[in-house]
Amino acid sequence: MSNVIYIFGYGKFGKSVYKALSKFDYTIKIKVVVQDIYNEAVNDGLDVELYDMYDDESIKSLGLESVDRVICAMDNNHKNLFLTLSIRELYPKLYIMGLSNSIHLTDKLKMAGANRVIDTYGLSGLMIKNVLLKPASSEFLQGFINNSHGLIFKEFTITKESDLDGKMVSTIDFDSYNIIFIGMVDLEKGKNFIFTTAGQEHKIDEDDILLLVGKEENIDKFIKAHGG
Amino acid sequence: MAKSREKTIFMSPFLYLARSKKYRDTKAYFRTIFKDPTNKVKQWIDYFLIVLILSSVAIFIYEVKNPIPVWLEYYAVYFASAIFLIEYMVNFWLYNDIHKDILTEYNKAKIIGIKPNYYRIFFKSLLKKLSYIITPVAIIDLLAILPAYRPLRILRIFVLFRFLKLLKHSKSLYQFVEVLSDRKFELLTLLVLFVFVVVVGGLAIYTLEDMENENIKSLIDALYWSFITITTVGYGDISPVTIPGKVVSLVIIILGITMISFATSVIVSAFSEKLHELKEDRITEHLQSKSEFLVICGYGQLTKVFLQKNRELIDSNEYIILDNDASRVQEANLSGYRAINDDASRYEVLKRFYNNSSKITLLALTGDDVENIYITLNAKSLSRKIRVIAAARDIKLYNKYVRAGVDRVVLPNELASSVLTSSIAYPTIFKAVNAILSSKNVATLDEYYIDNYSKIKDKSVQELDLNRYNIVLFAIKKGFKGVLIFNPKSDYIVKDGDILIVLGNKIAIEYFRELHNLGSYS
Repeated sequence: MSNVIYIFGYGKFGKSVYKALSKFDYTIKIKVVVQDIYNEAVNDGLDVELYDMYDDESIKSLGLESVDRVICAMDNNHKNLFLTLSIRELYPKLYIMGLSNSIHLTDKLKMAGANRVIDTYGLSGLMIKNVLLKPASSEFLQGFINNSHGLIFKEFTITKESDLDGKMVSTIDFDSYNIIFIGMVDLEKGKNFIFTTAGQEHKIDEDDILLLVGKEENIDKFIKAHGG
Repeated sequence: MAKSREKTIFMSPFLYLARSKKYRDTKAYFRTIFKDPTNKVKQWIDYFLIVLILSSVAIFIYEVKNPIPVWLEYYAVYFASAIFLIEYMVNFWLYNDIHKDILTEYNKAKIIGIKPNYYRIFFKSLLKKLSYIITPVAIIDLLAILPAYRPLRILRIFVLFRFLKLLKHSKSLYQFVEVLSDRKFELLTLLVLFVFVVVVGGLAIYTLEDMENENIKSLIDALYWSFITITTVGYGDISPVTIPGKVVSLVIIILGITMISFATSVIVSAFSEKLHELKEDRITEHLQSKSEFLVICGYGQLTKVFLQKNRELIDSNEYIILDNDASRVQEANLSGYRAINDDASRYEVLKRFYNNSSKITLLALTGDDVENIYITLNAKSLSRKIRVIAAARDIKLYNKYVRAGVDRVVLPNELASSVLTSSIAYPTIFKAVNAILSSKNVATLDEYYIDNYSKIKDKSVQELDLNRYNIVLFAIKKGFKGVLIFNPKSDYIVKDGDILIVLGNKIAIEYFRELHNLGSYS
């Protein structure tokens, strides 16, 4: 993993993606096709480069072989689709992510070679449905996105040094730290995430991932206490 | 002094009525239950009167050839007529406010500085009040009461007017008459032409066949023949026997067919023009009869996706889409959704749907932030009780949405970015949140509303024994605007008004809800 991410586009979507990703320890580079947008990104102090999306040589010159993943986040769906197709053709193994605003576009982006597509309106449609039918719980869920209640989801990957290695989940005291265990990736059972609500008992092993909810400091205390 | 006393004696009852809040409120209440078509009581009154009309008319018709029990006669004659009389009197009372007219006339006289003529003012206002009696509705209502007068059997024919009363109380019949009245000019022109042709045809056959045709004995016979021929009924009891008479017949038949076709086309075009409006009226009425419904503003991509994910809502028909673009409305209708071409930012448009007793949620999803904020302010100015959920394109406008009164703002771009980021940085969290957001069966985030009927009220969290059902209690909210208690302690006592936010298997959550009689939001 090189931890380098390229975002193609710096419009409405691109800016929003950049803003969200910039909070993490990634090297983010912006690639744009329009001079005005390039100027805007330069003014925002970003690492930005102009390229010609219709010219494969121009795309090759971007050095995508050393990149962890790319995000096609232009505001124009047709251009995102075309770029996804071009990049996939040039780099068959590169991880490509895209943003979509309809079920049809999601399918097309996947056909063009995107590994993961985030359906903007699909998510919003679900969120609006939740707000309508379950206003309190949807507000609680939205609190994780806009950090309004100070609670977070956090992963705890079990290391060899952790005293939890070999223990059963039901024997662990989460309450003392005021945190909630909501599920885990139990490698013994596969790579899928299993919610605690499934009612299964789990034996914790090295490299299993626990998913915890609570205040960050409380989760950190728990992780520290258990050799994380 | 005398003048002052005259004024006091004359004006005091009207001044009393104008100042009496109780009188105003009472009259406003009666006006609502008798005149407001959206009022539930008015609807029940209409149903009651329709039943009364139909049953009394049925009894009258049965009575023509069969004896009926006395009590049934009392019901059809006296009880029904008494109810109609009461209705007539109430409508007469509601027609206008005589005291207001008198006070207006009195004030006018005062302003222009002349001595008020109390008797003239009183009679002028009284005449205005009595003008109700000669309105078509009042005449029908009065004639419908007449069959109660038994000594004159001829008055029984007025039972037919009870049927006419149905026009007033049956929405469909009323709308039919309304559509026809919109084409009054065309239909009246046709009627005049019709009468003209009948008379001319009748006179022609009378003069041409008076001595030749033994069936035409008078002008009435000739007019009768003309009428029967022009309407294409043609009983055949009178028919022309001379060549000129037969020619007249041919002309009359052609004119008759032409006029009938023309009248049909006028009526059909009137209906097709009104059909759209009638359909919208029906949708509005349907929604207003619901205790809860949704007004979706804008039929863009987000609305389409939202509707695709809410099949239950579509099936329930408890929604309406408003869009000011006719082509989008057509697209929505073709997709099987209920959409109306109207501008939700207009006060009158939203007011059409407003109903004080319904829980209304408005979704501002137009794709234009300025438009959404305008619609929000429009809805909130109509009633603060309307819940507004808006999708904001630009996060910078978030505060403006909040200031406009939006109850919940959804930020599609930020939501997508946040999910995309978590899929990169925290893939496990992404999987979990995605499952919760999509309400996957095993990970349904839901809420229990505690009220006085909830069996778990006043019980501790430990006593709820949620672990047994594999339900995770995330938090308890002390009412909608109250504080959030995350991971409540086992000794926390659940109180009336609390909202429990839980995560669990959908089936387990519903089972626990039913077991303990717990409420949901809707």
